[in-house]
Amino acid sequence: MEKKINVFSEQEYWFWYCGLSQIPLPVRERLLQRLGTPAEIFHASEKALRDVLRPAGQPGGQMEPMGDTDEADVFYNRKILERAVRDIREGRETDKIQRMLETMNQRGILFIPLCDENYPKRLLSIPGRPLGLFIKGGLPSDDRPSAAIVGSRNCSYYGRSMAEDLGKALAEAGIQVISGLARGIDAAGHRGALRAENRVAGTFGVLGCGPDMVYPRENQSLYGEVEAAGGLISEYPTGTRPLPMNFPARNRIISGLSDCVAIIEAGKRSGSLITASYALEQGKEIWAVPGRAGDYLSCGTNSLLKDGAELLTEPEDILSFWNLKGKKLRISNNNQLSLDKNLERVYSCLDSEPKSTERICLETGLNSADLAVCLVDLEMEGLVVQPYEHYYVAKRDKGEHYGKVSGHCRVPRKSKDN
Amino acid sequence: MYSKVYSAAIQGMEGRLVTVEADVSDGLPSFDMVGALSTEVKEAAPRVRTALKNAGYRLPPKRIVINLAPADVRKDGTLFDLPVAVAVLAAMDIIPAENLEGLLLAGELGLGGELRPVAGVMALAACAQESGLSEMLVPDGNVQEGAVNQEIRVCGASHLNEVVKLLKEPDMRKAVRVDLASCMENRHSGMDFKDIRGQETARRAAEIAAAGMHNLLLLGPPGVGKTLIARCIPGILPKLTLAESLEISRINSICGLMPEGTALLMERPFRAPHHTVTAAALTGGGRVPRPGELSLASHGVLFLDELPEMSRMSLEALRQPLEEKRVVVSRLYGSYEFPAKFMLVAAMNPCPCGYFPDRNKCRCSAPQIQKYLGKLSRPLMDRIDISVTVERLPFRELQEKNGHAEASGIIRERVEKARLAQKERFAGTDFLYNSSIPGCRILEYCSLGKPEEEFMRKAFDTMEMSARAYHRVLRVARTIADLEGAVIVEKKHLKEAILYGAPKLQKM
Repeated sequence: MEKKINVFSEQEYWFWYCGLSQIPLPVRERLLQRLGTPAEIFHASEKALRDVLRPAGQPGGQMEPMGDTDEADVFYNRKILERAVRDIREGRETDKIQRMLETMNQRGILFIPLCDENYPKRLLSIPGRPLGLFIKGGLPSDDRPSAAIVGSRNCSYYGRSMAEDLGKALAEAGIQVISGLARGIDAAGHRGALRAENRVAGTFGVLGCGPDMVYPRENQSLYGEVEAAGGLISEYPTGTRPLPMNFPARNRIISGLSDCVAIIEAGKRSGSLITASYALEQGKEIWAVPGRAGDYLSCGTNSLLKDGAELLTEPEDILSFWNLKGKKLRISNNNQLSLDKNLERVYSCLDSEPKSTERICLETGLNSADLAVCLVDLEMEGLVVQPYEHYYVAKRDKGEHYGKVSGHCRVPRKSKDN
Repeated sequence: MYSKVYSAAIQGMEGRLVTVEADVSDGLPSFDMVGALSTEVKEAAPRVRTALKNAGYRLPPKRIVINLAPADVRKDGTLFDLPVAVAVLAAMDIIPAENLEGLLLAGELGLGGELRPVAGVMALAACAQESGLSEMLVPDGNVQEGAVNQEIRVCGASHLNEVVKLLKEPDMRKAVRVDLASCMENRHSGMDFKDIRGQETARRAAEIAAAGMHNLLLLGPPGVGKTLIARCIPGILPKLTLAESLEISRINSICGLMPEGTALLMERPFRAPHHTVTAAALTGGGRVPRPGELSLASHGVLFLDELPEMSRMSLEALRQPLEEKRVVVSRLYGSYEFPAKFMLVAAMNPCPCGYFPDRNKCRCSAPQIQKYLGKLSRPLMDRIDISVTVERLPFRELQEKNGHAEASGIIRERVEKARLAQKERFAGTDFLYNSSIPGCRILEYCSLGKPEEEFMRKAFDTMEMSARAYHRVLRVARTIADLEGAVIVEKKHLKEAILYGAPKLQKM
C-alpha cells in the first residue's frame, strides 16, 4: 500500500487525518510538521513514523522535546506513540474513507481542513489549532468582529437574562456570537442572538461532539435555529459522542474564533474558566459579568475580575471594544414611571435575585391581599418577571426607572436619549 | 335441632344481612362451618368451641353444622364468633329460639368467653334497620357507635355468659342511648395556626383553600414548616355537621379505627400516608375492599408529603376521586363505592435536593429538576387550584416570641362564613363548594363586571393562561370574594387568585 501514490484527493487525505481523533493532537501536529502533508503521513512507513515520533536523545530519535512540559510528556510516553502508529496503520482503509466523506457531504456537513482557504484565520494562529473543522451551516466570517458568550450550565435567572440581552445586543451591533450550545448561559447567549431584530451577524455554536449529534437533547430546536442563522462547528468527525473530555478541548475553539470572551456566571471549577485561560493564552480580551460576593455561581467571574478581567455590566461595555454603540435597551411603554405607594414598596424590594412571595411579604410588610394586587399589577406592566413558581425578580433594566437613588426616596426620571 | 340467628357481613360501606344457621344432629362428633368463609371466619370454630367450654357449656358429642347464608356472599372478619356461638346454644336448646327474633348479633369471642369489639358496627346497625330488625347485641366496646342509630335498640355485653343471660330474659336487655347533641360539642385538638410564626402567604393560601375546599400545593425547601401548616388545616375547616360526622365515623368503624367506647368521631380527619403508599391503600383494597386513605380522609385533609416521590400508580389513582369525590373500586364480585370528599394538601420540594432556586445551595441541573417535576402529570396538577411557596424564615422572625399570629378559631369563623355563602349559592345543585363548580357553569357563578372582564382578558394574554387555568382563577377568586363577604368578584380578588393560582411548574 505504501507504494501507491495519491489514492485520495488532498481533501480526502485531510479528512482521513482529522478522523484519527484518538491520537493526541500534539502528536498529529508534530507529524504534520515533520512530514509535511497528511498524504505523506498516509504513505509513510511505520519506521519513518516511529523515527519522527521518537524523542531526541533516544537512538534514532529526531524529536526535540518541546518547551511545554505537558506536550513533551506526550512524546515520552511510548504507549501513546505506539498506539498512534498502530492507529495510522489501521486507519488506512481507502474506500471506507471515501464513503464516509461522501455520506457526510450528503448530510450537509462540510469538512474544512487546515489547508482550506475558508479555514477561519483566527484559528490558524492559536496553539492547539484543530486540523480540520466539520461544520453544518456556515463559518464565522473573518472580517466581522466576533465575541464569545460562555458561562455556567446551571445558571440563575440573572445570568440567563444577562446572556440573552448581551447576545441580542451583540447580534444587533453586527458582532458574531460564538458559544458552546450547552445548557444555561450558552443556550441563552445563542437565543439572545437569534432574537435580535435586524440581525446582521450570525451566531455559531462550537460542539463537543460530532456535528450530527445533538447534546444536550433539550437544545434540539436551538440547534436547528443556530444552524440556520450561523453554523455548528466541531473538530470531531460525525458520530463522535459527547465525551466529557471533548468539552474543555472545544473551549479553545470558542475563544479562538472570538475577538473577546464574555463570561457570565462561572462557578469555582466551571468550564468557562477553562475558556478564560485559553482566551488569555490566545491573547483575547476577557470580559466578566460581576455577581454578588459569596454567590457560588459568581465566584469564578468575580475572581476573574479581581485578576484584571474587564467589567461587563451592560452590552455597551463590550461594544466599546470595537468602538461600537449599541441601541439602548429599555422598556418601551413606560419611561416615566410613577407607581403608587404600595406598588413602589414592592417594586423597590425586588432585584435580580429571585424572591419568593413569602419573602416579599416579609420585607414589605404588606398583607397577602395587597401584595397580590401589587405583584400581579407589576407583572402585567412588565416590570417584574416570575422566573420560577412564586419567585419574582425585577426586570434587569430597573435602573432605567430610577435616576437618583437616595434611601427610600427614589425619584423616577425620564430617560436621557429618548 | 336446628336454629338460626341474624348477623351481617360488611360489603364496602354497607352491611349485608347474614343468617347464621346451626344444626346439632346425631353422627360422628364434628364441628363444621360452611358458607363462603374467609380464614378468619373459619377460625371461629375452635374459638367458639373453646369459649363455650370455658363459659360452662359442654358441647354434646354430636355432629354440629354451621351455615352462613347467603352462601355466595363472602364473609370476612371476626364478628361472626358471637352469632355462631349463640346459634349453637340455641340449637342445644339453651337459648329459646323466639328470643332471637328481630335481633342482630356481632362480636368476637376470646377463649375465655369474653366479648371483644369488632369493626363496622355502624354499618351493621344501618343494615339491621334496613332489614327490619329491631334490636342489636354487640360487645360493650361497640355499643356506643351502634347506638348512634336511634332507630334500633342496641345493647352491649362483655361476656358470653352475660349474652346468654340477656337472651334468656329479654326484659333485662337495656338499650343504650346516645345523646348526639352532646357528642357534637367535642372539638379539634390538633395543631393551631397561632403556633406558626410568619408564613403570611401560606396561611392565607390555606385559608382560601379551606374556604372553598380547593386542593392546595405547598412548595418549599425541606424543614420550613410545610407539614406543620398542613396539620393546622383541619382546625380551620368548619365544624363538623352531624351528617359529616356520621360518615366519618362509619368509615373509621369499618376500618376498625374507632376508639373503643366512642359514639362519634368529632374531629376532622387528617390523614398523612407515607409517600410509599400503594394505589390500593389509597383507594381501598382487598378481596372485599375496605376503605382506603382517600375515604378515611373524607371531610378532612389528605396530606401527601413529597408528592413527586410517590409512585406513578398512586398519583394517578388520585385523579378520579379528586374529580368525582368518590372512589369506585371494582372487584370480581362487584364494585364498591367509597366516599372521597377530602381536601388534598400536597407538599413537595422544588427540586430533588430541595433548595432550588437558591443556586448557592442547589446544584440540581435543569434536566434533573425537569425529571423531578415531570413525575406530576398535568391532569393531576390541573386538579390543584392553589399553590404557595413556603420560605425559610429569617432568624429574627423565629426569635420573636410573641408574634401576633392569628389563632385557628378566628380563621375558622371566616371560613365558616364563606362556606355559608357557598351553601346559599349552590342550594339546589349537586355541588357544595366553589372548587367543584363545573367548567360549563363557571360564568354563571363567577360573573365579572366589564372592567374585571377586561382585566382578565389582559391577564390571560400576558400570563399565558390556559382555559383551565383561567377557570381555576375564577373559582379561587369567587372563594376570596366569599371570604370577604363580597357579592361580586372584584379585580383585587382576581389578582390574589392569580398570585396563588394553579401551579405551573413547567417553568424552569
